[in-house]
Amino acid sequence: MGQRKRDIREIRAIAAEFGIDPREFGDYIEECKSGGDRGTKNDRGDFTLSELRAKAAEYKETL
Amino acid sequence: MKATVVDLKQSRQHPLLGQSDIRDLQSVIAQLIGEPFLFARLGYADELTLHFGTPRLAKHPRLRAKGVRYGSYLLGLCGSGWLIKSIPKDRLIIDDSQLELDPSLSNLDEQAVRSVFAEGELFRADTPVIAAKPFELKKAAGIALRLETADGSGIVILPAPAGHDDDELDHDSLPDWELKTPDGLLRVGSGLQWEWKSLPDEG
Repeated sequence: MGQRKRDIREIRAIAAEFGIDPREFGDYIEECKSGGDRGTKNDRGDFTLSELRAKAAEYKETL
Repeated sequence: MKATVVDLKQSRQHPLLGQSDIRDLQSVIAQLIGEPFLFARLGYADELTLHFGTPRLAKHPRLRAKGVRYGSYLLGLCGSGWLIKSIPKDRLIIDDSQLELDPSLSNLDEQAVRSVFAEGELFRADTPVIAAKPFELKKAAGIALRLETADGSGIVILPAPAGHDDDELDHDSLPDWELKTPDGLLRVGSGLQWEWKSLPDEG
């Protein structure tokens, strides 16, 4: 469960950095993954920190 | 008649010291009572969130196009463990990632678990919350929550034991669970502490 909390902390920190809603941003990431836009962190398609920052910028621009 | 009045416009921070503090916390959580259950959703990092109250569509157009909704009251589990009694599913569902149960008790794969949380299927749709009681979980040195809905369903949120979540990040940055309401944000944990922050109107 430690990894789960670390992942939640990570996305909340990035959402705070970009001033966006962390829960909606998390759902946006999941929507991207389900649409085939996957990250390179692992075979689940999770995003690395730098990829998450790019996604946060994308989210904010298209909001 | 005895009564407790809580000003939800006032932000507060509490180390949990005794039963009076539990009652104070309970009075904050009580704003959830009477709100209808909408749905539950597993989000990023499998964070389980229960949605209550009045639904609204997501703000982002891509999510709106998919019909993604949020309740006006959000109970976020922040990666904590949970145990759910689902009357519509006729099942007791246990998050075993924390509880380390006998593997023979766990027979749901990831897809099956996600289907359990398909909208409207966990508790009966629109069934109201009838009880929400925090209690000290001594084994974890944290604050658990037991919530019941009128259909007989319910959830218990179980914070992780101290030291279970060992990493180098700031432990205070993520609570054990939280309740976002139209008026503010309640963050409970880690440990025996909680805080209520009133939020500005979103307009």
